[in-house]
Amino acid sequence: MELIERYLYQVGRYLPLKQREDILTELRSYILDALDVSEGVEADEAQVVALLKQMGPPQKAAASYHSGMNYLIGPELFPLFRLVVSIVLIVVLGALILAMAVGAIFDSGSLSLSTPQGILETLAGLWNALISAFGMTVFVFAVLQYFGVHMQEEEKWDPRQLPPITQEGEQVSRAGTAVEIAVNVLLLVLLGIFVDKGGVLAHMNGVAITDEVIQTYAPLIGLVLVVSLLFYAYVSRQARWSPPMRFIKVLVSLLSIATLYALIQGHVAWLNAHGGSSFLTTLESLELLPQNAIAITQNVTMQGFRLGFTIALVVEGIETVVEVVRLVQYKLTPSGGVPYTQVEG
Amino acid sequence: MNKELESSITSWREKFAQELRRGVLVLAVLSQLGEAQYGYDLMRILGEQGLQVEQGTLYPLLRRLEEEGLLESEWRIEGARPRRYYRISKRGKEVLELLLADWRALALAMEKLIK
Repeated sequence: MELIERYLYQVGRYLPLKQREDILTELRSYILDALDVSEGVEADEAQVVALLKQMGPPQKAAASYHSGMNYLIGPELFPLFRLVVSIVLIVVLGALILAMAVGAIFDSGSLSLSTPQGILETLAGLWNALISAFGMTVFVFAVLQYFGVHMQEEEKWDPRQLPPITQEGEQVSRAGTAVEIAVNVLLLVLLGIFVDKGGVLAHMNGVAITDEVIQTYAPLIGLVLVVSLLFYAYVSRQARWSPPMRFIKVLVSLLSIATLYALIQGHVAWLNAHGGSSFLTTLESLELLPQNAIAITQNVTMQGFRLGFTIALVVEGIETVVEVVRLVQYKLTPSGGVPYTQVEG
Repeated sequence: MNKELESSITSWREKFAQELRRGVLVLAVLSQLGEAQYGYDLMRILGEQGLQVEQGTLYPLLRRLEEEGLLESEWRIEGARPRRYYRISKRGKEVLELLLADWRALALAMEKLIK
């Protein structure tokens, strides 16, 4: 009957080619059995419609025949996938924001963030990068799923290797730690590029705009970044903040603060020798003339860095004070610490 | 009993019942195919004994069991209509014995638990 054939044809569209004929023949056989018609008699249309409706829409009927490869990313791989996606997105987002900030500072040519169109383009680029990173992760995991690669953790796991419970201390924030590590890595990469280019930030009319102070202090900056990176790598493997960890964090922060302070002083010294350390004094000493464009740009760039480092110093300083306060609180509480069920923000 | 609670209990019950049926279906099917049967008739037999199965569940299952070597099939032309007959294979019989033992052990455990 035509209705039946139309149905079977549609089901067939969703079946793998190799088994299509076989499955359809079997389905046709079932339908005829269910309609219970003797040879040569046409079934009542209402009956046929009722039966086909019961069997479900063609696509659904076909779906019940492939229970094999149903998952893009299966339940065993999915938790790992979610973790990796969040790390990847954070790192990409961090890298892009940093790149945008760097671009805004260094780009003496087209200031891409100054026009609405520029901002839209930048945001579109951001979105693009995030989607690409996400898609790549999905693709990798889909491939893993397809080839049946799974986490083998279960078998080799030993309870004795679980870390001991510290009775006090807040939980280490995995996202926060991941961000810290990502930022450190990025700054190291930027530093590397900067040093590689001989301290040159950009070119203007053939003359290089540089930051000599950063170049001078590059080894120190690198050292601090590496120390910080190692520290946070260690932190990422801990479940909770212990007082010794906090203490080391304070030390690392102090190291950063010292470096930042040195950088700021270096910039101030440079600025005083090259036209003044504020925008007004710069204009006084270097008149706003075309031939002074390069010098002015260099000066303003240095001021920009000084401002940036100053802000970083303030932020780092506040964080360090908070950490020290927490350390002191710990020392002062009679029980020796906060019970581990309390999680601070 | 308010309506929300009722409907969530109903859906819970349906889910549970579905899981149970899914669990025993392979055993039920293997147990009936000592002699060759075709899909529709098998459906009828299972239904008569109280195990309702839909075509969309049973037929793909029969194919899969055959792919895994637990069943053998052949087409028979009866009148003008071809029908596919399934029968348990040698390997299928071995598996059936094991499944029956598992089932009995499980049923025994449940009996003790719900006493």
